[in-house]
Amino acid sequence: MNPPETGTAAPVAEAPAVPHHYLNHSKGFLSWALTLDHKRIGIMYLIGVLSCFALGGMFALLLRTELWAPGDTIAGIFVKKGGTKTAQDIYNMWFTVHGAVMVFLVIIPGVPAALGNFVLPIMLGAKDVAFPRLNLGSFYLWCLGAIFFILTLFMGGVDAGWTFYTPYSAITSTAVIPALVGVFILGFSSIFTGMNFIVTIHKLRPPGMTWFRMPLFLWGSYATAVIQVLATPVLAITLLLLIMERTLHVGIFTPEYGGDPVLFQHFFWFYSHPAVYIMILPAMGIVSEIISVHSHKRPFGYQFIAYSSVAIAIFGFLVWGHHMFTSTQSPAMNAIFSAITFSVSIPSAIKVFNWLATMWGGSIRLTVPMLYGLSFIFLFSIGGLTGLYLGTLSTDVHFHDTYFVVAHFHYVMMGSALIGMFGGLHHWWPKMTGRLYNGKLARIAWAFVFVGFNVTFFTQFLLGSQGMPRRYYDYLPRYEIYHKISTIGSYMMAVGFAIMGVYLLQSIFGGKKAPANPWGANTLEWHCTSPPPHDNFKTPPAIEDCYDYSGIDYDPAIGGYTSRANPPK
Amino acid sequence: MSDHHEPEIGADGFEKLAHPVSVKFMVGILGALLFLTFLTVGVSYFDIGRSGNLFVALFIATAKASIVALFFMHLRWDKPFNAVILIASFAFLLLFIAFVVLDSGEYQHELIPMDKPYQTDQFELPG
Amino acid sequence: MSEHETQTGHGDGHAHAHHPSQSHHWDTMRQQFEAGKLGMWLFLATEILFFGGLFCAYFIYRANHPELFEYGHHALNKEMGAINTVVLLVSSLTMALGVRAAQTGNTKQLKLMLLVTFLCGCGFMGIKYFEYSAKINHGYLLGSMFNYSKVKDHEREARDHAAENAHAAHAESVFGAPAVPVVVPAEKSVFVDAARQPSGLAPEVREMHAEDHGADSHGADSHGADSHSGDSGGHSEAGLLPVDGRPPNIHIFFSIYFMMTALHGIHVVIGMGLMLWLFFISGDNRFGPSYFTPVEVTGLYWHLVDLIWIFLFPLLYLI
Repeated sequence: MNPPETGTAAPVAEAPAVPHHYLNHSKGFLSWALTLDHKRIGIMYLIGVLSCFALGGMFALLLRTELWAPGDTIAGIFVKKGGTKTAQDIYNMWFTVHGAVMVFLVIIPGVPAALGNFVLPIMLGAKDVAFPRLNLGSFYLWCLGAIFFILTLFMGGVDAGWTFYTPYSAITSTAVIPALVGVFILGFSSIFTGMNFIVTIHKLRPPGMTWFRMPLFLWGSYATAVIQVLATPVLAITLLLLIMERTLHVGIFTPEYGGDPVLFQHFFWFYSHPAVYIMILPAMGIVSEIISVHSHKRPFGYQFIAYSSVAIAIFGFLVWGHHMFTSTQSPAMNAIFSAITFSVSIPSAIKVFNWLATMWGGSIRLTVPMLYGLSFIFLFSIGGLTGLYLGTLSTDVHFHDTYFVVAHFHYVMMGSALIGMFGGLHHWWPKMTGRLYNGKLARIAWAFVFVGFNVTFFTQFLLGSQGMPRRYYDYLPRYEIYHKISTIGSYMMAVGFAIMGVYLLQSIFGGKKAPANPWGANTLEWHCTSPPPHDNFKTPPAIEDCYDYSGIDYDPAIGGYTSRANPPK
Repeated sequence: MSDHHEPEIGADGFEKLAHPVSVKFMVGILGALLFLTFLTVGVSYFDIGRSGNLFVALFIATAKASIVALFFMHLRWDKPFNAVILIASFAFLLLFIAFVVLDSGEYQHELIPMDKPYQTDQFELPG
Repeated sequence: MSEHETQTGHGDGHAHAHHPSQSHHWDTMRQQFEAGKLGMWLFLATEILFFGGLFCAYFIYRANHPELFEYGHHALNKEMGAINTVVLLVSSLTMALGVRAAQTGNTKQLKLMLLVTFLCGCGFMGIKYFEYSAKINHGYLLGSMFNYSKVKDHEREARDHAAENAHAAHAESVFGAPAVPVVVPAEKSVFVDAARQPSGLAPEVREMHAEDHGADSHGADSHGADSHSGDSGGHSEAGLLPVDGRPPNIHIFFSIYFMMTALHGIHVVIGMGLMLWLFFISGDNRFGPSYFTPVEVTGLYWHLVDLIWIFLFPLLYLI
């Protein structure tokens, strides 16, 4: 299964014209499909995740187009003559598919499984993750989960919302069970990735790589992995119970069968709130890297950023009840959860202030990754601060289930988690592909995405505070202007992402060759060639302070940076 | 990683990773577990209150589980971090159950009987 | 599972030779062993939280509706549960001894212990089979499969009537048609509602019913027991629910019972599969003091399955 070609490849090739790296290490479909190389698995994840992002994005555009004007806009086109489904049902399926695909197939695996898989072992100085077979297995589990999602689309869709609240999810006639099975499988994929990363970080750190010498991205990934391992199983059992509820009416979650729907919400949010941190923590890790590298300055308060990742992971388990303030949760619980919710803002603010202080006095270069990094800080601040409105009991009663909530979690999920992921993608793209992308186009795309994002979702804060409920197919004419602006913003984002697709593809086929270290970073992945060799490191790398930029010099001959401690080989 | 003792080399020239425990000791552990099993079954015949029986049963079960984890699962001799994982998982489970049970006072006290017709006047709304 | 190829092109200056079971990305066998164990412990943590959801459901209903458990546990057989506990504990010992045999390189003893552990698993599942079949025969099943007529006699008539209705309704039964329960007159029992339950239900109910009339020995059996236990009020004949004092929605107890024990049973079966796998790969003195990771981590898994049963047994059987 594992091609041990280390012995045969070396003596035959004499002064190879093309340097050996993981992409040309072996050829053929099976060399990818059965690969145990974390880099190739990461690339396969990335392709999958970005495809699903396009799918989810298409549904988002459909939703926004439907909301362009009151009444039926385009959902009616999809209504079958003589069928039972109305345009409203179609709309419900759209937002369910959009939410479920974006959450379970894109954001949760996006940073840890796609970028993390590629970067984490190299950053650590390891040859691979701890369990390469398990790693490949979790990729195939992800594929299987994705297939179940696609299946639901062909089985008439699912309209229970990505949260699958009972009792509706237990009695709706749509294809809930395939969707639940899909999420169940994706959950295990996520668990195995998390396990793998924890063991990798514990057991594969080379000598000299102490905990507090680890790059901050690894701290973010570690905290994420802890949540993945501790929270995701509860989601799995919840979905299993829901499947049982639907098929055998076991009577745990549905009042019709003697159960309790609030119990479902407890079960669901015990996972799904920590899952929010599964999405955001690795993105925060990426931003910590980007801000430091592109400001050419040591992160301010390294230990604080590291500890705050762990603190967020732990606090994240204690706040799930703030999704249930209006779900007849007991007042005492509301008060407890509200208070703990506010405490999450402490580690979050620690991060934001430390990033700002990192930039202070640094030599900031507005590279494309840095633009995404800065956008993250801006959008995350808005997303985080509006979260305080929702964590406050009195205001939440007003904002609950309005577009204010929609705007808030899009600022956090998309504006932060996904923007962070795209920042990381642009940061590590030269390393992954060995090619540079077109900087001018990338800046234009960023501008479209950033402006489009704010036009889309800031408007929704206004909509929500005026009382527009979420998940509605139709609305009163007074909301029309806001909806129109929001829809225009979503089209701007679509244009931005389309441009991004174009220049990224173009860079693969005709981009300039990337130097080993185009940004002047000092973490270990930049010390191996771009793209990295099959085994990452021929000799164990010298572990030094990864945020010490004094030994990094620009070499105009190669268009990149070289390190004095780890000279190019 | 730096806390390794001097590696003990086995007959095959590789480091010995095992520290086998005596069979007698293992059988003794089983004896203790069986004793606790009989104890918990025995206690169940005495009525010491609804929660009394539950707590005694849970206490004995926890004792048994600890014995299994410490000796059969070698946690007694293992790296402490593995024990931390086990304890953390139980702690998070406890957190989950505690919060949910704490909230259960708000739940509907009368279940809607699935085998009986649903009648709206049968149930009082909370509050 | 592990690699047999000796990695030659390593060249990182290790003085010692590579163990045949060492993968290329590990520096030492100890590192590989500790990592495998850590990974298994993390997996066990996920298992604990996975079962934890069911335990949470258990505690919620136990706290809010203790009557379900006090009534329902009469259907469970304490003795069988206790025997099963002993069987699993013994299998835990043999597993631990198996790990010990692997550690000392005693392949013969390892194979013996794996086999005994496997047989203990068979014994556990066998007893489970008898327990389950008793409940299935009595109609004590989970969710809407629960046969309420076994518990109370006067509903039988209503059900007779309703089963016909259900048959008629079956043709037009829609998967979960109305979201709000239909208000039906009191004398028409739940089985009118069969129309809004999955189409599989209605025939099943009729089937049980038919079997109930046909295999009359059984029916009589349960009737007799019912009337007895009704008088005594408290403990009924083992395995049968008393007639009186039935709380509403007793099916929830059986839902929890079946889901917990079935999920546990699935884990036992997986564990038995792992025993067989180890049995077949353990030839050629494969395991010894320097390499026994698969036996060790399978042992950890098996002990966890035991550990979960240690909690399940008193919570379900000893109420």
